[in-house]
Amino acid sequence: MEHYPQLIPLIILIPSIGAFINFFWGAKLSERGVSIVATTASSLAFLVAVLLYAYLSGSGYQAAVVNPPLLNGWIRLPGVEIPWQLRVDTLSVTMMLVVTGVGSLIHLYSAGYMHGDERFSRYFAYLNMFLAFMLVLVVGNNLLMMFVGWEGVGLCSFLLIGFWFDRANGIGWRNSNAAKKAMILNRIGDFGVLMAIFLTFWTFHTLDFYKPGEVAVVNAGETTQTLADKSGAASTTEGGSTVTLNPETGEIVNTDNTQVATNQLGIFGQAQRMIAANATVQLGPFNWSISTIITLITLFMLLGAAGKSAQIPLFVWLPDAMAGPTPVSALMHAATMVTAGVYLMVRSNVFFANAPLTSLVVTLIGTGTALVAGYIALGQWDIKRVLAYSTVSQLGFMVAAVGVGAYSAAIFHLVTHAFFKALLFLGSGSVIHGMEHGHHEAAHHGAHDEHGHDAHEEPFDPQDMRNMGGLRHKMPITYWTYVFGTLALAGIFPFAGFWSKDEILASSWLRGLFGDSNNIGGFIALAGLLAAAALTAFYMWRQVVTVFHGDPRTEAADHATESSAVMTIPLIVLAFFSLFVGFINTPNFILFKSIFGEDRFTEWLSQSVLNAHVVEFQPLLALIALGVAVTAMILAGRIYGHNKAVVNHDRDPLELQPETAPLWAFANARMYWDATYYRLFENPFNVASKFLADTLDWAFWHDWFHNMVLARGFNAIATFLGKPVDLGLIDGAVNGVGSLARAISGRLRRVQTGYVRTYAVTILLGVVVVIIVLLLPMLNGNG
Amino acid sequence: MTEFFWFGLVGLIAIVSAIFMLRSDNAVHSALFLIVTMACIAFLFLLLNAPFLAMIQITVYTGAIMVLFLFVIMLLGSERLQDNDPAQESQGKRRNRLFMTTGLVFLLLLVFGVALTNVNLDLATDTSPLPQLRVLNAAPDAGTVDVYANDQLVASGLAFNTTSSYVTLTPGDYTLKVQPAQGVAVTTPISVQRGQQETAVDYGNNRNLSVGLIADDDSTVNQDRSGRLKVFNAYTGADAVKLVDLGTSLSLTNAPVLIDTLKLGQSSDVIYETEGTVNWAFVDAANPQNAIYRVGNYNFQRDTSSAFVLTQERIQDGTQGGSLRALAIPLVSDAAPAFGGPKAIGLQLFTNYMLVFQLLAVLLLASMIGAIVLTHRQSKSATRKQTGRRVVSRPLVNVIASQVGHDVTDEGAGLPELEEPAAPVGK
Amino acid sequence: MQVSTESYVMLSMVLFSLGVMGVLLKRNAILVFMSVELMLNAANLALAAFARHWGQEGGHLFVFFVITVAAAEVAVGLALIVAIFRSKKSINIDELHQMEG
Repeated sequence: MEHYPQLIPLIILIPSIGAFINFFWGAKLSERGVSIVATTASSLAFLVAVLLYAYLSGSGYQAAVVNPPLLNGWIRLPGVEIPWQLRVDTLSVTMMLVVTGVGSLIHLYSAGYMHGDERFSRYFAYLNMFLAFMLVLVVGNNLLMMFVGWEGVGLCSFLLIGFWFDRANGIGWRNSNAAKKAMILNRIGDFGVLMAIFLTFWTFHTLDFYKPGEVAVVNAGETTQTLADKSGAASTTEGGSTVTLNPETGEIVNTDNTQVATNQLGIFGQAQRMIAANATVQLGPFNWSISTIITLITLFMLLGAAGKSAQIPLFVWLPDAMAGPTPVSALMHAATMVTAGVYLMVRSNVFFANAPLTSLVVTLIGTGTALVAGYIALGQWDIKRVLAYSTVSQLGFMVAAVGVGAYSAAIFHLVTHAFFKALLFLGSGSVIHGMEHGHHEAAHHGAHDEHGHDAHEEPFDPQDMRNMGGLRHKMPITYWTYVFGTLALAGIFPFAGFWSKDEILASSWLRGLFGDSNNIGGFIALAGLLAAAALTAFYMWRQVVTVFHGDPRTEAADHATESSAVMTIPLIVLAFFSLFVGFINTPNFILFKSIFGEDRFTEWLSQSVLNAHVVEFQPLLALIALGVAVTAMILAGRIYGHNKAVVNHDRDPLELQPETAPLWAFANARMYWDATYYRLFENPFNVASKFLADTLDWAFWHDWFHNMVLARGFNAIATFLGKPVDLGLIDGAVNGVGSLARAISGRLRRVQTGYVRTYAVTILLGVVVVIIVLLLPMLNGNG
Repeated sequence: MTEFFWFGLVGLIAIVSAIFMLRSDNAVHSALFLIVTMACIAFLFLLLNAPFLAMIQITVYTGAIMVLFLFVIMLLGSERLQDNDPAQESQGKRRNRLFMTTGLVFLLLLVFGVALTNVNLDLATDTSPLPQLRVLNAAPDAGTVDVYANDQLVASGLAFNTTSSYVTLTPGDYTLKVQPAQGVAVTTPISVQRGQQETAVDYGNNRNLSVGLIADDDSTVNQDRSGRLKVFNAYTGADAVKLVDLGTSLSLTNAPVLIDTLKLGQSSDVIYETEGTVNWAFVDAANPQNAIYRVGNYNFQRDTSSAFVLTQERIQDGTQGGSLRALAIPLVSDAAPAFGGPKAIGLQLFTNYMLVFQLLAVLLLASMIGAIVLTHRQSKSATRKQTGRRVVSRPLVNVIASQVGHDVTDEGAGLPELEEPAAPVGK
Repeated sequence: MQVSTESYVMLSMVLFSLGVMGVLLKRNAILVFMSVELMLNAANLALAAFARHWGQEGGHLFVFFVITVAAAEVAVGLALIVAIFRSKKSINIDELHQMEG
């Protein structure tokens, strides 16, 4: 068992191989073959994660740092050492389990959902690739590896959101625009992460979370009784991976890092020591204290998380990302990718715990996001868009939890949310599938409706809730699993969401009461999150009533059928988990402790996360939250039940009532977030780039400059050189020489008169000259 | 003075004749005037001691060239040509030409005059020949002698009564050393300059050697039909000797004396004697009736330079060591021919200037051919037919004609029929 | 030598000049030729004078050569004149300017 960590490179390798196979040979395999390859890869990765979980449980939660074979070092420069290193600890295993588990189910679901698509193999290749990158993100032992995964999942989200980029009627264009939007906003977040990495490296001269052999959950200078890494020699065996192990299996060793030099520690150890020593860091001409640097780093990390985890102000990509296939939405935007930001913040809990300012900001942003998204969700008609805003809202919950210091609560909520949100998305996918099938049936086999025109020719949106209704009887499995997911999301006892949401609320309450910093943040978080929980319950039940209850409002809904087994089985599995996964972290409450143990998840997580601590169960708070949620659900049933919705010309009742009409309209308009961004950023950018491209580059540079200056100038020079210079000067010179010769010879030829006498005179003259020349010395000399 | 008179007169005639030549209207008159000028020049040649040139001038120039001129003038009929016809040329042009020509000629004369008055007409370097020396062994008892002039060998192994050939020396002072085979060497200082030819004579008997020097003179003998004569006395038997001419009577009494008292080792002055067969005798100056040596029936040639060396020779007549007898050794060489005479001209022409002579002959030949070619007139009647066919040799023509049946040449018939060649007359 | 060499040279000069004038002024080709002969004679005179002055026969020989060359030249030149006369029927040298430039 102690060698299980050596399997960890497989968890990245197997999905990569699956992607590779599907990329190059997927076209030759059948649909069945492609889906088998991909799902098998994903399931094997899940198996490895389970094995690693078994290892950790068995070995006393000892973290392991593994160097993958054949990748000896990555960046090796004098003073810079960033290796390919994989980390096996409870946090990373948790993430691995969630990612691969939910991912495998979604692979299975996709095999049915994407049936008949022309780029079937590519889809699965992308999915496996996404899985591989996400796992790189969560198992990396240094910030740079995490960033590799960060970027990789950003790439895969772009590829998958814009998967149907060539659909007709402008839909393909809309899809690719959504993908582009996701990429750009993620990029802004990536800037934050990069700045955080740079600052971290500058400050600590390393990017490793914890070096091999370092104790992770020890405060600086303290000796704890916690289980920790054995600081044994991490020797590299030949061709294999290096594992630091406790040589006596299972033995609890008291160790700390006191004997390790500061520059041999990872970033968190160094940060703790530097904070304790009130060190200063030189940044440019300034000397800044370590807490300022930590605040800066965490603020940049927050920017990154805002991009990846869809917080204010960068969340607008997530609703548009629903343009991708529904399983993609389920995997990425519900369960895994968007949680990368939360993972980053929880991994850097040492930083955040020592940056109170950032934590306050985080809290405010998280709470704000939860409220804003929840508000917008209740004005949406698209079934997936509601879920998207719901995701954003829940992410706000998680981020707010990080802000108030409830790191384990954040991860707990992450885990539960993964299951019920994936369930809800897959369920909505099933609904959409059924609606499409029903539409197809109605168009071809059904009679004309009462309006007398063929329904097939009208534009039909299978995702619009106004076209649904009464699907409870048509798609029972989908209905019941969807109800499970809704109850879990709303936080109804004893579903999963109740426990995780309550833990967050309790942490905020306690932070507000007893926290040594950010007290006000705790209270704000409590109030806001309660309101957001109410909103969540309201819009989710609104959705259930509108979609499943009442009578079918269209022919399509009338002819909808249940989806195939390959789609419904993952729904059932996820519904099961939505009910029971909450029990992994039951607090000390009534009987649950004796059945499921007490705070087992927090205990488990605290082996890796230093600041994860148990939260005392607040029964009163839980009761208030439950009451708020139930009340909201009943209210929604009242307003939207019995087809009250959309009977009146497809209008929302809230829209019709004058008190709530402007609020609803504002929510339906998505609070003009996208419009504002367009006005503030996109449009000026487009105008500027259009100006630069059309006017500056093309009209000025290519046309005017080239024509006037270059072409004309060249022509002028050429003409000048051609005519006056070449013809005039050079030809003139050459011809002039000829003319000169001719002129001279014309003059000279008159010497040849032809008369003998002239020649005789000339000879005589010459003779005289010669004689003079000969006699000259005689005249001068003798005299 | 007379010469200048003749020079002036003849020169004047030449100039006047030349002017007349130029101004004459008739071309024949001009030619005749030119002939007069040339004759005057021939006369001037005679005045310049150049008789040969005068002859050539008269014969070739006047007699051939001017006659040729006259031939051509008369052939072309150009005596009628009016050279000074004003109608043929504009007055202005003619005047211009006259002025220009006169000016040029004046310039020419001026240049020459200036040159003449300032010039040194003499040659810059001495062109006289280098000094030459030869040796005559006139010592009867010396055996063979070797002669050195400043350690430069002049003659070696010179026997009695033999003369070495001339050796060219650079002008200067020398020590002449005569080394006999038996006996003691004798030295004497000599000095030679350009233009001198010397003969060194070693004489003396019984090993008493002395050396004497005879100055040879090969210059032109100016007396007509005469030769130059000089005597060197190397006779030890008498104090002084005389040379008398015996004449036809061969009598010693009252014989005219040619060369008077000549002591031993002296060379006499130069006398000129007419050519002929002469009978001379060397007599003792003290006793004129005592003839030492008779030069009898000696052919004395003209234009020669003779030097007699009177010495003794030892003859073997039975007495011990032999006895001495007088001997006169004649050293005869041709005198230089008269300056300007044909002999002198010929001497130079056929030795130093042979190549030029031949080239000029070629030039004359070329000009002859050129003249013929230039004046050859194509006769119109004798245009050759361009047949393109050569006239074949007769036998073949006959063969062809006999085969073809008719004559095939363009020359027409007339070719004699030849019989078949008979069988060769063989044995 | 009673008559100086300079006198002979001066006489030669005068004759030479006369010859030059004749060459330049006469239009009859044969007269021009005869003037050339006069010039040659003058030169011969000078040569002979100098030969006597220096006592060398080289001057005489040169006169000999000059006479020879003059003979050759006269032969060819007169042949030329005859040829020209045949074609142009005139020996006026002013009419012989076909080779003008």
